[in-house]
Amino acid sequence: MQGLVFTALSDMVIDKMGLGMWNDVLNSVNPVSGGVYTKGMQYDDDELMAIVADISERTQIPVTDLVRTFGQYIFKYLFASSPADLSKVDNVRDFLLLIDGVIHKEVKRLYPQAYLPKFDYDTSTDGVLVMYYQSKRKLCHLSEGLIFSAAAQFNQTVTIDHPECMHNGAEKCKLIISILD
Amino acid sequence: MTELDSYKQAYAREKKARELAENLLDEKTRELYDNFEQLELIVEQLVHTEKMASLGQLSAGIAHEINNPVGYSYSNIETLSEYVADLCQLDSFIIDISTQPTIPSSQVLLSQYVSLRKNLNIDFIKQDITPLLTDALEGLERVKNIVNNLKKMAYKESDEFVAVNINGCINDCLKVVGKELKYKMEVVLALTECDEIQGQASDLSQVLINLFMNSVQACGNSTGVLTISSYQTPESVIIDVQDNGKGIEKDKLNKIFDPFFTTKAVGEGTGLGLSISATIIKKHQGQLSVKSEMGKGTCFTITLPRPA
Repeated sequence: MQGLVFTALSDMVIDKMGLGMWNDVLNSVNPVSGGVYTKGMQYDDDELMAIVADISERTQIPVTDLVRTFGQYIFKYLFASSPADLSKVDNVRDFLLLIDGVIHKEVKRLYPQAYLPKFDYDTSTDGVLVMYYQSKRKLCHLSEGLIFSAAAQFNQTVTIDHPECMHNGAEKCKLIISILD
Repeated sequence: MTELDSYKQAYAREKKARELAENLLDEKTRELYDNFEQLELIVEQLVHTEKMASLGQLSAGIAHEINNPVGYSYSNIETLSEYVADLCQLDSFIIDISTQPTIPSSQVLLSQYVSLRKNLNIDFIKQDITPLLTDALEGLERVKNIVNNLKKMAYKESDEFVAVNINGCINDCLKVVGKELKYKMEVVLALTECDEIQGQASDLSQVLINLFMNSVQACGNSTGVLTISSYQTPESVIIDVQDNGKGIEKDKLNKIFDPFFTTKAVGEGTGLGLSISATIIKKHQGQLSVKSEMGKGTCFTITLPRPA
């Protein structure tokens, strides 16, 4: 997984829970990397899962909520470092529709080793965007958090229904995004 | 763990992370440098490939240009070899008599000699030898010049810049593309005395031939006028290559120097001609620009710096 995810996670934990908490988590998880993270490098997925599980245990916040919150937090990092030109995008729907075909393609050019989730879209219903999420990492709740922050970025509000989930055996997660304004 | 220890631990991690980031940056910089070197090599190869491609397009015309003088030089030499045989026969007549035991009287001998000379048409042969030789030599000279001009075009020079007479370069190129222009274009030359510039004649020839051939294509089947002018300002030597062809559409004008942009049918052009021409002129610290009006024609201007 891209180092940016780890540096953002450390920022979030330090921001919200303090440096001591982040040190405790790393000392407890004892990741192979030693907790030394750099944006441009790749790290083992298991390190992130172990860190999230440890934080969840310490804070009693369910993993799904923690991951969703992290998705909301990391959005600003991803948006700011997007390799695709987003200057002409002015609404969340257009932004979400660019993720798979444009933004991820540019990320892949910059970081060829990066593993990225696959998104399919259903735009057949007015006011609703259906996104199908598929990834071996099953971080669909991270996507939910990202979508909420993306809406906030464009001063819009969305609700997300998640009726089909890979965690419940579905082949892909179905995210029904209703754009309220 | 005290707060200080906590910060120390975090600092140690950040320090290592910074080292990793710096190593990564070094690695990427090296990669970029290597890729840039490779790109430079590829551009150099592309320039040469395009040069060969444009020579390939000219090859039919060049073959004709060579074939013509070779044809009449060959024919002249064939005739000359027959004349040589006749002259040898006349010579043998005298030599053979000198070996006979009885030599006829000089009166008889002269009469036989004059008769044989008349039969062999020696007076005509004597008259014909000089023009035949002159034409054959002139034909072979033409072939030699064409091959020399081709060599100038195809030869991969060193990267060194030398003094180049731009008018000489234009004339050499016109000799190479002469056949292509002969029946399709009226060529108007308005060359004025210009200082020599520093450059590579082979590369500049490639640009000029490319522009000349583009003019021929722009004029299509109708006979066009290709006006080539050279002049200088205090800073530059300037060459205008103007045609009265169909012109270039406004929306295509800013794309014509892009690599692989072509308005020609598939297989008729590489789409690299103008892009490489612009690269060559840029390498000479100059500029290749274009002005065009639909239905009226196009003018390419090469501006090259005069040596200080």
